[in-house]
Amino acid sequence: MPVDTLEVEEEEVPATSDAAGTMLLYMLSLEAVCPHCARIVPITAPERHNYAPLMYSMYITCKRCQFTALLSDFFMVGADMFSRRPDDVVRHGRQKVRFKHTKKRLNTKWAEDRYFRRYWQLHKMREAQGMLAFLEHLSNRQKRSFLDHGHLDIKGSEGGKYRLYFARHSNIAQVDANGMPLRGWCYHAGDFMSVGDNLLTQMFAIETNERAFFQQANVQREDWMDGLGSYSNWKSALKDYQKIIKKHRLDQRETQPLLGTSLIVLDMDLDDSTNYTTRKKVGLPAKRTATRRTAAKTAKVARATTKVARTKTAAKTPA
Amino acid sequence: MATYTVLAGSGDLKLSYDPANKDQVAAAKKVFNDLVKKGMKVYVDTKSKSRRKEVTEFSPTQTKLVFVPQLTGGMSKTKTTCR
Repeated sequence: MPVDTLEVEEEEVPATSDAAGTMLLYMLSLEAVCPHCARIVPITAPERHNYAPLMYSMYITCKRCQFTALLSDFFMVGADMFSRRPDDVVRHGRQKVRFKHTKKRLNTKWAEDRYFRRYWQLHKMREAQGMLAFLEHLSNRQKRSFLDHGHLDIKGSEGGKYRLYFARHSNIAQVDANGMPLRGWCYHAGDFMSVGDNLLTQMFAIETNERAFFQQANVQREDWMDGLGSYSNWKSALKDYQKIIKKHRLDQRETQPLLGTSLIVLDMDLDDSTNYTTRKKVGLPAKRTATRRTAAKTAKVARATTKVARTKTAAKTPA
Repeated sequence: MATYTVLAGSGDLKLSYDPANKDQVAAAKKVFNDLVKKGMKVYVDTKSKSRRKEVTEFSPTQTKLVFVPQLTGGMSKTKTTCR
């Protein structure tokens, strides 16, 4: 699709909010536009990842002009559609995609301007805040290890030794007495969590109830260590977070009074990333099904009540 | 002052209340129960590892608590993707 034939549609840019943090997940099924020939390239399974840095560090090739570049160099259609649900985006299909920018060339700068400026800063801010919370809970030795090497060792409640790596998931290694990794475990809270929050959650869970960890966590494939390579930028990420913490004085935040604080932020679906089987495994109720059933029942009762009321009114009205 | 640290995805949300004030304790109890109902786990929030333990019921004596989401197993041996 040549650049000139793209249809232009002016829309207001949605305001950034906390909700944008979870919107990245919606980019799973989206498409990219080649900056070289402007062809729409579907993002196939190997490139899809719900964690942006990992996703953007992958190479993608345009099938038309064989232009190969980082995914981040491609114009992301998903970046244009923050406010839409994934279903809506997919329904648009290839033919009906409208670009709301003007007739200027599709280039990486455009994507950077629109996507990184609006989202990336917000993303980094919450990551920094999560990392601060994590670092506050570490002993001096653990903190030094984490800042120097990107991982720290912890002890389980039943004597097991584990190493937590700087990553969102697939980051727990069971180590032997000499500190050599034996096997990898995957045990994480969800994709909406920042890395720091996730590490803190993992640390609390393993240190207090190792048995539950063994029951619920999954052993990883043998090549799991390769996956950690994608987080090789942990050092620069940590530096960035420390700069943000210093700049915004996150470490000097005061606690909010519990009374009068809006807890809207907690209304997010905590089990968003868990499917039915996993929910069953950890003993969570099948919330969505129950909600639907309840809604159906309520609607049925409402209909019956209306019907009875109408019958009564009809009986009272003289013929 | 007692504090709740809630890990809600975007860093930690720190809430404080006065354990001597009955109204605030009642509100804290409600928040505690709501979050547990949502599937969150509650731990005693301390730096010392030996004192960390899971809490299942509200107690006004526990003044520092941390609320974390439920963890689940991710990538397994058979699956190629996490989830």
